[in-house]
Amino acid sequence: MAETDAQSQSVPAEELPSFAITTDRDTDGVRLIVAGDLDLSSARELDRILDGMAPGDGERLLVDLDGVEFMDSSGLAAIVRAKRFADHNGYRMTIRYRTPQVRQILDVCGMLDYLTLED
Amino acid sequence: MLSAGELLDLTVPCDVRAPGIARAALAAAHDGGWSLDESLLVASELVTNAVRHSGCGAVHTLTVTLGRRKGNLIIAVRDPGLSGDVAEPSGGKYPGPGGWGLDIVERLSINWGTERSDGYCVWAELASEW
Repeated sequence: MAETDAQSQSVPAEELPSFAITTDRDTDGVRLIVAGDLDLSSARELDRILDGMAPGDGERLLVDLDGVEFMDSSGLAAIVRAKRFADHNGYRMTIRYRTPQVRQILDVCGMLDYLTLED
Repeated sequence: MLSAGELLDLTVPCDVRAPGIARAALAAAHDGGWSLDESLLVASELVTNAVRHSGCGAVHTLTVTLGRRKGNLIIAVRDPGLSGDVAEPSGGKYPGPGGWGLDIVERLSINWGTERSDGYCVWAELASEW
């Protein structure tokens, strides 16, 4: 999709909602820890990092949304893209979340079953 | 006709900051009379759609208003309407470039609609919790 001027222009970082991504390894594979608001201002950063994820054989990618306080469809779209990529490339991707609002958007968009919850 | 923005009348830059600024203002205006989570999500989707699809640039702004109609909450987002695009839900299919935004608005609101006059406005009516 062509980007609009509004999306490509740079804005002062201090005026953006708080957002952080940390990549970690655990015994099952790769864990991506996301915190803050996952919206239009941060979804592209998540996309970029998810694009570079390459779990090894038999490993899973966990997208840990426990620290996400708010997520809208821009954030959900990035996570669903990552899941489709994982399915296509033959590795497992799971998610976890804690905030009721995150569960709500997964439910409203019919993604509760499609996105696998980490055991 | 839309009610005036008696609860909030906010001008935001038409860029990626807009959804977050609108949510912060909405949270500050929240008086317990409606679901905060649902209103934050609906406002974020309406503002995101305006940023992505209105054809606006750095010189443009959006107006976000909150008002009441028969006790319900009206969230309205007005953009410059430069693209001529119309708001249309994806209809439950896997979303294309337009995304899920309006499907979410449709699911969480009692009514939603659009107006083209002085730009383009998309509004949603959310149930009161009183």
